[in-house]
Amino acid sequence: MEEQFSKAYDQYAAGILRHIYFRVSDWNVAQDLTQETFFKAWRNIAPQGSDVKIKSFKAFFYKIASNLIIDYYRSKSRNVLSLEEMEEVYQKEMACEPTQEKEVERVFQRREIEKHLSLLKDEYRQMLIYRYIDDLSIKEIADITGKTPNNVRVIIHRALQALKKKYE
Amino acid sequence: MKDKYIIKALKKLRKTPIRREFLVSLKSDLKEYMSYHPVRGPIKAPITKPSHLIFGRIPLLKALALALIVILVFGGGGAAFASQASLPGEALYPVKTFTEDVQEALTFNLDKKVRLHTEFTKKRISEIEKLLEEKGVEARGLEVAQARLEHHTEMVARAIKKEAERGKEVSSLAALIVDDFYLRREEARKIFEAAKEKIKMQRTELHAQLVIAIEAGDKEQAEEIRSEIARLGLLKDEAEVRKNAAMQALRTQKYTLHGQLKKEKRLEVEARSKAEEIQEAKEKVFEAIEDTQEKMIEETEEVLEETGDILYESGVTPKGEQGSLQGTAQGQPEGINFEEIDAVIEEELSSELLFSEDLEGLLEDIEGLDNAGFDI
Repeated sequence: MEEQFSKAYDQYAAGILRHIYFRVSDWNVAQDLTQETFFKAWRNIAPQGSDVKIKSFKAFFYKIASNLIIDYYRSKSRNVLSLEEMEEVYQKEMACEPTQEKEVERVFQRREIEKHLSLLKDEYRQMLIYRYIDDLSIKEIADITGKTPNNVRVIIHRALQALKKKYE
Repeated sequence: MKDKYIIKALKKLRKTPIRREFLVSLKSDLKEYMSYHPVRGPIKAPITKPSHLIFGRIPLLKALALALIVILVFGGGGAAFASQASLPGEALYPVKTFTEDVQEALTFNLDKKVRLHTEFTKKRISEIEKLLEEKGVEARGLEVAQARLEHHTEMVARAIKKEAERGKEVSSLAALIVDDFYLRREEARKIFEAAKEKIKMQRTELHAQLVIAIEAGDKEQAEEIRSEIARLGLLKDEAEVRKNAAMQALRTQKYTLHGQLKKEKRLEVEARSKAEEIQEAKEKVFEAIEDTQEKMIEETEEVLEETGDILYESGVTPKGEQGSLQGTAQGQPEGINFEEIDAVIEEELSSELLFSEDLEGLLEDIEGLDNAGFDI
C-alpha cells in the first residue's frame, strides 16, 4: 500500500497543488492544504490495513482537497478574494515576473484569466478548474462532487457563460 | 467572446509553474510520516537509527566497545561480514553502519581516520549508484545513504581542521581530501544524471504511446499514460534535488578545508570550481531546452485529443477507429458530413428534451462544434 500511495502521490501531487491554488488564490495556503491533503489521505488509509482497496486515488485526493478548501473558506469566512486583494496579488506577482516581452504577455493573459476566475462563485470556479485545468472527465467530476453527469455539464456551461461576462 | 477562447485560456493555466522543490520535500516528509504510521501496525521508529533502548545512557564509545565484544563473543562476526553487501533500507544495513561506526571510534591516528572516512564516502556513492540502478529514485534507502555521505564528509573535514588548530601541518592531507571530494562529486553527478536520463527515455516512450492512445480514441489509456508521465516528471525532479544535495554536501566540506591548502593548490581548486560552475550552467540550459520541447509535445498532444474529441462527438468518427485525425493538420477534417450533424440536432431539438436540463448539455455540444470552427 505504501508503494501504491507513493506512486499516486507522484502522479497527482502537482495537479492537486495547482487545483488548490486556483481555488484559494494563495500559494502558501495552497501548499499547506496540499500537505494536509496527503497526510489526511494517509491517515484515512493506514488504519484500514493493507487489504484496503482504493478505487481511484485521484478522486480520493480531490475529495479530501475539496473538503479542506471548504473548511478553509469557513475559517476565513470568505468565498473569494476581494477584487482589491486580487489586484494586490496580481501587482505583486507581476513585479517578479521575467522581462522578455512575450513571456510578460503570456503571464499577463494568465493573470487576467486567473483574476476573473477568482471572482466567480466557488461552485462555478470549482467546475471550471476540474474540467479545464485538472482535465477531469465529466464522470470523474460527478464522482468527486456527488452530482449527476448532466448536472455537472450544465454547471460547467453556466460557469463558462459567467466567466465570459467577466470579460465584458 | 467565443467559448473556445475562454476554454483555451483556462487550459493554459495547466502550465502555471509550481514549486517542484516543495513537492519533493513534501514527499520526503510524507515518507517519514508513513514510516511512523504504517498500515495497520504499531507506531515504530525506522530501523535505520540505532535504538536507545539498547544503549540507554551509556556513553557512545563504551557502548560501541561493549557491542563489539558481544558481537565477537557470540560469533556475530558472520552477520557483520554478510552485512557488507547490504544496501540502505535492507535488514542488515544497520549492522554494516554499526561496524563502520565502531571502526571509526577505535581509529585514533588522523591519517588512518581520514582514509577510513574517504573509504566510507566511496562506499556511500557506490550504494547510491546501486540503489538508483536497482530501485530507481524512489528507493527507500537513498535518504539514509545521502545522510551518511554528508556525515562522512563532515567528519573528514572536521578531523583535519581540528589537527590544523592544534598547529599540525595538514596541507598535503587537505589537498588529498579536496581532490577526493572532487572525484566523488563527479561520480555523484554522473550517477544522478544517468538516473535522470533513464527517466527521460521512459517519458519519451510514454509520449509515443500517448499519441497512439489519443489517435485510437482510448481516453482511459491516455489518462493512465498521462498520469505515468506526470509521475516520472516528479521522479526526475527528485533525482535533480538529490543530485544537488549530494554535490552540495561534498562542496561544503571542500570550502571548510580551503583554508588548510597551500596557495598553488588553492588556485588549482578555484579554477576547477569555475569549470564546474560552467558545466552546471550548461546543464541548466539543456534542461530548459528539454522542458520547452516537452511543453510543445504536450500542447501538440492536447490539440490532437481535442480534434479527436470533436470528430467523435460530432458522430463522424466512431471511437477507436484508426486514422480518424487524418487531414486535421490542414485545418479541415475530412469526411465530416454537416447535413448528417444537422439532422441529428434537429431530431433532438424536436424531442421531449426541449425543456429539460439535457437540452443545455446538447446546446453545449452544438456550441462546442461551433467554437471549434465548424460552420453549423
